[in-house]
Amino acid sequence: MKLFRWLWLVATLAVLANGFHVAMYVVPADVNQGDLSRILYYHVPTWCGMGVFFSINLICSIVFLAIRNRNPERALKTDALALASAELGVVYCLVGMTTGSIWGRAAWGIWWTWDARLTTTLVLWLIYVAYLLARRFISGPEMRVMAAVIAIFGFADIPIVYMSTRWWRTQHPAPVFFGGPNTGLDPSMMPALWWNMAGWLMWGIFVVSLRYSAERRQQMADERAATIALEAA
Amino acid sequence: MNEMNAMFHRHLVAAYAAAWIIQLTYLGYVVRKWIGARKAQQATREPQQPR
Repeated sequence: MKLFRWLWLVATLAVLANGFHVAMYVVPADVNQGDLSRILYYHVPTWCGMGVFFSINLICSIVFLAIRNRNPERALKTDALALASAELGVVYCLVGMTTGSIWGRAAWGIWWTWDARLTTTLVLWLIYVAYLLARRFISGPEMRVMAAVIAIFGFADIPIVYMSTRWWRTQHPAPVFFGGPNTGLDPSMMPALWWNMAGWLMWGIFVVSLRYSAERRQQMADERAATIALEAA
Repeated sequence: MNEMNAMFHRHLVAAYAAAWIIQLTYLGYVVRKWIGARKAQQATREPQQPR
């Protein structure tokens, strides 16, 4: 498992390096925006990563609530995966907002605007930060149940974020993908997007596996410490 | 547009650098958690029986 993880990391870094090379030197610059458009090759993959990892968090939260009484051991594993994927989702969301903000500064002349896409995204980020804070500061056995419920309600914001540029007039650019006729990237630009999408997803899988492993170890150590305390009493 | 100019576009460089800084900072946090959990697990492990 250890060897596989390190091989995975090497493969991930190779894909990311190639993604960087393709994004910077291979694909052409956008006719209107020039090189600034290359931010897209980091911006879009992080949003896809965020969607994937928040979805994993949602599935794990539902499974945790469903099996927590029947199979506590497996429920703890799903809870550890829920935590790991939520943390990474928050990180990806932060990267997406930061790269978007830098693009906005260059393209619009402002770092931030309260339009529907940006505002719903900020709310999404705050919901999952609240989820992580709840996990940290609520004590007792109900903490995991509370966190799972927050995660399920929090996920409801993701479709709103996705649809915001379709439902409302926003300053954010119109949907590039699945936005109807005359939308989408030029095929010559797609390799940069695919390489970076693959690279950042592989990176996410590596980091989540490491975080999951740490959380499982911590859970087992906590269980063992509780058993020792009970035996001593 | 000269392809080599992309590396000197300050907003582009800032965006890519910010993405890496945030990701590596979080990776550092995860590694710290992993080391801490491993130490906690070792501390609560049952002592080996002497042969």
